[in-house]
Amino acid sequence: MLSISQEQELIRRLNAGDEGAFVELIEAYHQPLCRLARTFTADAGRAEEIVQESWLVVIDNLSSFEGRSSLKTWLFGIVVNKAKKLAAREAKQVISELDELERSMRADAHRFDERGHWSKPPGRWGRSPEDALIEARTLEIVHKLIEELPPLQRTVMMMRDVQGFTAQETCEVLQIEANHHRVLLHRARAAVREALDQHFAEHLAR
Amino acid sequence: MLSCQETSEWVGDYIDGRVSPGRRVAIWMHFMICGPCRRYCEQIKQVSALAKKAEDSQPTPAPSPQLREELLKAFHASRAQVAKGSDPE
Repeated sequence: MLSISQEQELIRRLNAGDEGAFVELIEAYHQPLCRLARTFTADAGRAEEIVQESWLVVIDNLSSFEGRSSLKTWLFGIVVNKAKKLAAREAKQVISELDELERSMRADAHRFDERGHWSKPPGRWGRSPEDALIEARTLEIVHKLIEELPPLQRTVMMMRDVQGFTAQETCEVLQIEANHHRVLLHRARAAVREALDQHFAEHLAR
Repeated sequence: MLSCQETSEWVGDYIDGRVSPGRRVAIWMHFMICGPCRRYCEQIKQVSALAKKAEDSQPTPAPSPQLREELLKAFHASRAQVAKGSDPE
């Protein structure tokens, strides 16, 4: 992804109709946008469609882009809107963040007693000589776990941990409150941590 | 005094440096006396790093030549229209 000064230069060239600038824009953002779209739908083809349609919106609105947000948050915001509309149309996953929060239980709630103290503290993950071997398997597991997260938790984790968005940018793109973002990210990480804890406990026991 | 459960819920913002000075001190003091919460915090950092590694290792297809061509066509058509619209003649 591009720095702010690179973005500004790119916007100037885009508005001047520079074809090379548009190619650069696609090169820089098509794949990150597809990955974001994939957090809304399990279907890779659908995700790419969402991004294709988003590019057309981008083209039509280039001259009205006023730079109030960064180019990056503008692009990602367009994809999020498209993805939400598609999800609603398919009625498969209506993305209602509050429902989502109500529905998803805390993955590690059972680890605390009624006073909020650890009743089952986090396990030791350890570093053993065969770590390089474990790691490939661990990454597979982590990828699966992320895919299984509730949609909005998955999207927040993708933006924050994988794509390097700040908390503020994430809130802006997803149109959510800071507190909401905090809970979503915490639940996503806690769920992955919880599953890894179990995985490592089994692995180290063997 | 923060409980372990409360501390665990704030570690994300703590790592990000997005907590108030008061809360930062409270969390830090909790860490001083609580090994499991320190471990939890370290593991949350590891989860964050592992998530990046795991997702970066997944292949994402580059835009196909056809898509690139279609988008370029749309780009030129749109730019031509903008140029026409802003032309005083």
